[in-house]
Amino acid sequence: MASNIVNLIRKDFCALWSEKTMGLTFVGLLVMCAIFASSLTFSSLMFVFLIASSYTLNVFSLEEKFRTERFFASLPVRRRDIVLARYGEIWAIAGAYFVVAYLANAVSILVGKTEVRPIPLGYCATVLVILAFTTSFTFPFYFKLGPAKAKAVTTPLLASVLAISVSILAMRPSGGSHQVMKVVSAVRNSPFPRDLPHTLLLMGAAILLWGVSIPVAVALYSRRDF
Amino acid sequence: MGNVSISISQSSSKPIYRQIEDKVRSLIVAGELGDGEELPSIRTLAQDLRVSVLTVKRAYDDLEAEGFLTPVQGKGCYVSVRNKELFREQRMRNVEEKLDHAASEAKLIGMTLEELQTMLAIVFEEEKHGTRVKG
Amino acid sequence: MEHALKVNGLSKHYPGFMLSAVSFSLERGAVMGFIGRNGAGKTTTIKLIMGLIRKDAGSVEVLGREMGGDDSDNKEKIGFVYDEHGFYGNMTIRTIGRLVAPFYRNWNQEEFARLVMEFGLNPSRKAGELSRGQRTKLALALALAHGAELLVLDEPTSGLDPVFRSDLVDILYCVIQDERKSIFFSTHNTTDLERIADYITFIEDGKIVFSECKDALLERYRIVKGPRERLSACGREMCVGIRETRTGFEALSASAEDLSALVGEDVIVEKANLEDIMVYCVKGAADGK
Repeated sequence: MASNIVNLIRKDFCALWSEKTMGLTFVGLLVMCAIFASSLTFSSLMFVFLIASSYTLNVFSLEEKFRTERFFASLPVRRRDIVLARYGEIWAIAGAYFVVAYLANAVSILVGKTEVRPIPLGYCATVLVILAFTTSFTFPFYFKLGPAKAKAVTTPLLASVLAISVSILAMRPSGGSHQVMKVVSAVRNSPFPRDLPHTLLLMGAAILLWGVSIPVAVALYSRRDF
Repeated sequence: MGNVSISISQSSSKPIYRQIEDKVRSLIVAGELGDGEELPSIRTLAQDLRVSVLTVKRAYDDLEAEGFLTPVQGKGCYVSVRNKELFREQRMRNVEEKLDHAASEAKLIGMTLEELQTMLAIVFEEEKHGTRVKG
Repeated sequence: MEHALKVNGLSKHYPGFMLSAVSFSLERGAVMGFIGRNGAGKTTTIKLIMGLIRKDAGSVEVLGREMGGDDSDNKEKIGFVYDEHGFYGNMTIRTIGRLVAPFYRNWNQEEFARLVMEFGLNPSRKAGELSRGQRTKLALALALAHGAELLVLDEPTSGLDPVFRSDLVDILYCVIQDERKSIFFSTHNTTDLERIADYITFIEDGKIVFSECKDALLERYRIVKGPRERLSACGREMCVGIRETRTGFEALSASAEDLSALVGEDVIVEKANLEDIMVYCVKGAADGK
């Protein structure tokens, strides 16, 4: 039921907000990152990845800390709804991110900052792919193994992606082979597609990732024993 | 409903349902629970005595079978003594017991039968006219 | 009228433990105590009833309706209290109530507020600041505020003092004043159940040993004590479980008169309570009866 999904999303956001430091830090990070979006740099996208990972880690680790899974699974709520709510939260966060990003973007342009360009669709597509990638490779583990055990898999995964991103950012022309350098520079200078076909391709990739991971997560959670 | 005083003992060897039955029966026989009076509901009594509902239900079922009470659908259980003869006999036995007690007391202080009979006549009359205050 | 809870042939296999063919039923308006040792299968059974784990075989019917895999509808009518309470520590009681409310169609906010007050809880306090007993009371308030007709409690009093336990039983007595409500209450603290339970189900090692009327149980069994030498093989047959010491024997028996006649002099016959029945049944099984 749709209303139950909304109730669950509200529950998770409320839970995060009730942990004052976690909540404030996250919201602060989200807002800053959205404002930073106007720069359209690789590092701004890296922050999107950080936000997605941190939300994922926070929401599931809160559940583990207070052992609330069993309680909410005993309410008149379908397992499927619990899974959909988690994905819905990520989409809600993406929505908030875009709203703030475009607002900040518009303000900067209006104020007269000439170096600021309107955020292209390709950028948004890239953000979505990053979110889809992060959630699709972590959520199924959380739903199958539970927060405690899943951390063992997801933390190294996220950490390695972070490490790769940082190295892409930090790589200097002198280090590494010429081929690698070409790829790294390409990624760094143009981290998102500028033309429509590639944009649509990325959107499709995001939809595909979610289209596969959501049913998988639902199936895994429906079979989970508490 | 009035004040119905029932207490049961957890440590007694008599089963609790039996204790409840005996108590209620003696209350009826002693006249403290009048004909037509409502008994505490099964669940209320279970709560007050801190026993299970089934236990009280069993006691009430037995009393119903004996002819002391009648359940009224949707309202509760009422004292309704169906077997008037048996009931009268039991109450007469109750009176006899009390007379026995009075007689032994009288003998102790040296009253004669005539003195006792006179006293009984006066008390009976006063009781009939409602002038006697129960001491 | 349909049963409040009907469990038939429930089985669940774990490495090292197996719940096999668990069956019992609880009629409407009654209280059933579910007793057993730690690890006997009480929590597993309750998890199967609530759909928290998947069954290998068997069926669960709550209020006449079969509990399917993801049966959210049936859960509207069930109130649950577990031994471990999953509340977000920094949320206030008021917030928790507001978050749980929309999940239930029949949520009664006034009833919840009234219960919270009656249980002596301050709605502004955070869940993490509550004592264990207060958290149990909160769980109970949540369980009772949505018109639940079946209350399922899994060891609600474990680790709590006798005063709290008595409070809880008082609350349960209030609940059963409504004859549509039924209670299923698992505990290894049998004194709680001795009074309020109408029926007792005893589980040991994943199997139901008995499920019957509490009064009948307490009437049938007696503790028989006497000198060891007088306990013949025939006498042993009459005992469910025997404890022998240097000073004599103590046994639980369903045929106490016969046994005491057999033992003859120096025999003491006493009422058995639920704890005795549980302990001697387990002992008897261990001794290979």
